[in-house]
Amino acid sequence: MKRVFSQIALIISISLVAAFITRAIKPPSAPQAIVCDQATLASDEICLSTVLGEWQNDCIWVDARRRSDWKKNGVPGSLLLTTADGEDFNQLLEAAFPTLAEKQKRVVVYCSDVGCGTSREIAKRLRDYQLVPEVRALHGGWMALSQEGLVKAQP
Amino acid sequence: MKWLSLLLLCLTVSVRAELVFDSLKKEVKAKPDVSKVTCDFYFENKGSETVHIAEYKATCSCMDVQVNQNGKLTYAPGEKGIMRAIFDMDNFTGEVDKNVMVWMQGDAKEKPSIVLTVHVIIPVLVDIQPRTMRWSGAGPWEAQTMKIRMNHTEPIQIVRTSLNNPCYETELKTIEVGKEYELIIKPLMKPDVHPGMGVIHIETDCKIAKQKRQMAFVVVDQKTPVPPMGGAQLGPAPQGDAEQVKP
Repeated sequence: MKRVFSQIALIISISLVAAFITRAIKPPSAPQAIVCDQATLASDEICLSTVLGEWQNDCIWVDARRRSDWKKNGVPGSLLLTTADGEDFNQLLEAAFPTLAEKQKRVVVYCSDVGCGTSREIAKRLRDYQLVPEVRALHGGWMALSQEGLVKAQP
Repeated sequence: MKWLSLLLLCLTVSVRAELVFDSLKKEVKAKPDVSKVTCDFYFENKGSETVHIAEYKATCSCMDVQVNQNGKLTYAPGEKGIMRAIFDMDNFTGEVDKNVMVWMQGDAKEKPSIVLTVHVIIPVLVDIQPRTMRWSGAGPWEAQTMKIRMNHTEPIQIVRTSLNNPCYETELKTIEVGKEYELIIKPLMKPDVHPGMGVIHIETDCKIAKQKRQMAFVVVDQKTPVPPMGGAQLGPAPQGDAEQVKP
């Protein structure tokens, strides 16, 4: 009987140690850093490090999130081009056209995070119009910008 | 040996349960006149433990997601279910990818363990090439042709075209009624006036509202002031000004 209890105590001890180690290595729900791997990056995407390094941040930022999010914490000077909440993309593009056509800079589109997908859709629409020399979607979106301190943190 | 068995038992308990989908990306070909399409993702708990879906949502307000059996979220080993994505196409044409994120219990907020993609193909009924016409230099400039083709089973006619800049001359040619048109555009030489840029609006009699009106652009490159055309919607000021800044 004593042996059974000692075995149970051992199982609990091992489990507790394993749990503490797991928590120390990877705390639950901890914000995960956006990792941008050039090797696996989609051809229509770009890493923030490339925009800030190779491109020297010389681009037009396009926010593809909801209008309310753009107003709250978009990149200063960014343009709103989105289809979220039933926004009329053509109307937004017409308003953005003078800036895009005159500056003739490369465009980087961002949405909220890695999986949102809207930035790639907006980038494709912009490419179809052939207005600017190059359009890419930012890998990691607003989360990547926030990580680098380029936008205001979420309230 | 007994101790080793116990240790293995502890490790086995920590093996993660698994929800497996029939596919993570599906393609849907939509008819041009429908406003909604649905896409079903079939899943099964192929693990040895009961799994719990903590949260699921689409990344676009244009998509609604439903889980079968009134939103059942807990699945025993071997149990199957369906996740249905309903895409509202009113604002879309062409090829669109929309994602559904699925968080299992224990997933970090930033990283759902499952991302489902619906690739929707919506026929483009009015195809315009190119969408932007560009000239450079000090002029005179040659005329360029914009080709407009209707890709529909029934004819689509151009009702009206307009260009919001009088420094351009336009001529609409009908190649085949309801099928193919050409819009010939030429920037005009005017003393002391640079043509700058302009927006072309093309209105058709297409019965599908979202494809009825089309837009294209013209630009003569030169560093000149931007003509007033509604103004770009520039981003919020760094201080947090919520108002849109007009140029």
